Amino acid sequence: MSIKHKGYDRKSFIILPIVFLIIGFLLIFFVVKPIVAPFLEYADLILLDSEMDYDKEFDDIFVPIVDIEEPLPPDDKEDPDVNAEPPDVNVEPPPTQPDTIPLSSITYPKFGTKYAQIRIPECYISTYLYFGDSTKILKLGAGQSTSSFIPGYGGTILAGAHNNTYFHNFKYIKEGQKIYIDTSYGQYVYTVTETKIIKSSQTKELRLDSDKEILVLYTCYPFDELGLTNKRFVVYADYTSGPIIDHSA
Amino acid sequence: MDRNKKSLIIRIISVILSFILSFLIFTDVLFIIAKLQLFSPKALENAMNNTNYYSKMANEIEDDYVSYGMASGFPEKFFKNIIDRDFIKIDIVKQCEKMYSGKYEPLQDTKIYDSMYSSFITYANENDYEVTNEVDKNIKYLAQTCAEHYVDYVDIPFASSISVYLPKISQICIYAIIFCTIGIAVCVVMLFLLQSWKHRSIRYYMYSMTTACLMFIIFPTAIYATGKITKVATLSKAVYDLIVAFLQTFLNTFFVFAVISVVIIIMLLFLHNAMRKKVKYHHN
Repeated sequence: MSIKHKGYDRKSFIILPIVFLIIGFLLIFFVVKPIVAPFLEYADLILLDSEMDYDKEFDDIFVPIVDIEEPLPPDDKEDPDVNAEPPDVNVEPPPTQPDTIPLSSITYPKFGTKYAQIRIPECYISTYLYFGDSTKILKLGAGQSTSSFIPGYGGTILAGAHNNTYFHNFKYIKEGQKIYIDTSYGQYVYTVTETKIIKSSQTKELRLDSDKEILVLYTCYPFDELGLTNKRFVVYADYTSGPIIDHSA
Repeated sequence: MDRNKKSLIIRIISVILSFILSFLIFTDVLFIIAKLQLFSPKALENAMNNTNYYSKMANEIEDDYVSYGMASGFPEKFFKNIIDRDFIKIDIVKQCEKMYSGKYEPLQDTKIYDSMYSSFITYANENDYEVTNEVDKNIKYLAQTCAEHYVDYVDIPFASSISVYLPKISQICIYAIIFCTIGIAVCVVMLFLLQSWKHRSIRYYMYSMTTACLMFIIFPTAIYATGKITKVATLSKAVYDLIVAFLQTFLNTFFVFAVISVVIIIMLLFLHNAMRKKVKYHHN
């Protein structure tokens, strides 16, 4: 066997497989691509840009502008006295804050962000407010519907929490009481105007299409019975004070 | 025909056959792996066992039940281990088998409903809650919600749509494997018969195996390089771990075949050298 022939053999062992590889993958690409392209497009719908972090805690952008106590975790439920009067609490004076704030100065919360604290001092209710209302969020505090607006925006703020934990003391709520939402960009006060018991299917009663800023809080009803019901206890409150967000700035 | 021309034509045909052989080997192995991994309920069950899927799934369901408990008066500790791990494994395995058989039906939630309702009533009685008609209705609603939630978790997403196609695709895989295997045999025989010096046929087999080996390495490597395997969007960690492990097992099997093909190449190399020496000896 000549040396030239041996060299030919060795080069062929490298060149031919590489040539076959390129032609083979090109063939697969052009033949298979039209078949799998629809599936690949579908696959894009279920693929993210980065890996899911299942252990990640929710983002926290809440820095209160006034000195308030952190909410306590919900206590073990005791037998309630539904006939008791609400505790006597002095209404807080509003802090000094601007009448308007530019939208550009606010960090708009993303889904799962803890961005405010809801307090109803006369009912001993105090809990963090999260943007979003997944089951995970509702275990941590009050969850705001992402179809609603943030305080100061001029629309409906809709939030709910469990009746056995954070909104358990809704049984004490009455018209005229003050609800405080403390955010990083201002303190907002709402005055309770109405309470209602509705069915969970009566979504119109949540008044998401209100043309003025209102606060709508809801929880399951009744408060102290075992089991799930399709009834909701809804509290409506009108905007009283807090900086208005200037959308144009 | 001129001898050189004839030799050239044989060489060209051999190169083409060698390419076709490499393509058939890769395709054959691809369908074999798909049949053994993607279209096999056993492979899915193995992945579930390896990723502790049943227990993780039960934990996730119980985690959500705690949220229902917060809305219905049942404490968090009540829901700890309320789902029997063997029970959920049986249900999941049954749903997998139904999916692969092409006769998928959603899970019936009667058993879980009865179990949950019974647990709730027992808790109420043990803790001296008065179970009026209204309370009983609410507890039944809670049990129904828990049962539906359980079914949502245990039922495989899109299984009813996929299950129609799985047996058909699995059958297509079998036909493809048979077709490719026959094709491989034909190419091997044709290459052997075409060469006057038989050691040359071994050379062409080696070209084919080397190409196939490179394909076995590059195909999964390219998919891993996209980084998409670990970016599946699913709310359930249990499902995420399962999908990632399942896909990784599928891709890693190609590396196993790459190693097997390297062994085959080495064996062919020795055979080629031995046959060439024999030819040289006879020639001399």
